[in-house]
Amino acid sequence: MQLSDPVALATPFFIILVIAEMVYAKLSGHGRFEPYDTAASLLMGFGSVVIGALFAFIFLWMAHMLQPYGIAEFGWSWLVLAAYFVLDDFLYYWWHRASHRVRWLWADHVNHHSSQHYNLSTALRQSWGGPLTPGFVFRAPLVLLGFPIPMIAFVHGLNLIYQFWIHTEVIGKFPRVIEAVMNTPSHHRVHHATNPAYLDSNYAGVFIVWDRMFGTFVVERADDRPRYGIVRNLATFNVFKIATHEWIGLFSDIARAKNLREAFCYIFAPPGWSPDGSRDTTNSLKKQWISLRNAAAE
Amino acid sequence: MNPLYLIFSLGGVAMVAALCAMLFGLQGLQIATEKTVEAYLTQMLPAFRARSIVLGAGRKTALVENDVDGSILLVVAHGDAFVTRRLSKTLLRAVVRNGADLSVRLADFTLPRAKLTLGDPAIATLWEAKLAGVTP
Repeated sequence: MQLSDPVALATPFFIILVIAEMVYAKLSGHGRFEPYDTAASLLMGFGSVVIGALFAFIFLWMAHMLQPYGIAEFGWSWLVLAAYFVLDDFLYYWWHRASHRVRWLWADHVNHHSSQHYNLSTALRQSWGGPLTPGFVFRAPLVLLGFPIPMIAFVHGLNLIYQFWIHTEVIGKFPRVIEAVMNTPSHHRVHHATNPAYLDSNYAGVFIVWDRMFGTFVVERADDRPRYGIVRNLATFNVFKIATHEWIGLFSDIARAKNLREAFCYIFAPPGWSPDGSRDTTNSLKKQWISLRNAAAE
Repeated sequence: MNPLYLIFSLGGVAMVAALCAMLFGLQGLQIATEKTVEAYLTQMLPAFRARSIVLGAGRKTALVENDVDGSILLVVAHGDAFVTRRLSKTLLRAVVRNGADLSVRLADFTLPRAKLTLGDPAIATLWEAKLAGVTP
């Protein structure tokens, strides 16, 4: 079955919606845009598409290598497509969670979080280092289960499209039943926030139920407005620096490692890990915040 | 990949960025007063109480002493937001004073240096001395 790339088809609509949100933000005062930041986000998106197209063969080659070992062979049907969409989102949750908890993967994913703004252009701030990460490992089980390779690529695109529109401050909260099941702008604002209470939460792509099931769900509070970005925000709009800063940090840490254990931990431990514990991890930041909050309450 | 598609996409990026600049301007943020920095850091840090703050003449950079733990923070206006660094022995590479100008060099890929024009050489000397405590 031949399918168009849904992301390529959606791209003009992405741009139209970015412009619409920008104009609305200016007229209403809801939402923030910064021209250099927006340009950087869009250029990151552009670079990501180019790199993705250049290296798509890696995914296709690996998928075709694994396909003969598939335990079943699902054809195309709406039921299979729907089941696959849910399964793909479940695996996305774990991939995304790992991308925040393993520095190797964070080196790539940090690009998406590197803006201090949260608008539709931020959704397009995608990383360039995908080919340097083992993303395929998370989708390999789907090939081995016997889902068609074009379906895997197509649904991945649909998942990305869904995640575009939730990058906005313009939309508040939806009715409770929707907020309970779906990933929404409110849930994803929490995910992009650096407020200690919000760190490492709401990893969902489409269905927020995964976060609720696996204990990573945090609700957005009116008295704790999200502050976006990363714990140590970048002082550059240079897309090459944005794309490479964490990779350079990772490689220089590995080069400085005193033994294999340290090198291993720099790669696989959570971002911020250091042998002497002198750097902050999200866990240490949360602990500091909780102890200060408790001290203030006493 | 079709080169026309690439050119068209880059043109689209330029158009959106230009529209954004028209709507929101390119002037960027300035640090209005010491109170601005204090309010910002109080919100950002789990434990902060300002001991002393000095603003650079361009109102783009500030040095702040945190009374809670004695640390020194560098705050830089970047676009319409602030970027903060807690100056430590591993981060701060060098401090150079030239009259009333104070330059700090950092081991930071996206913020390798910052310069503050402090107006008074005595103030620059005072902060140079404070930073000597964290310089390796």
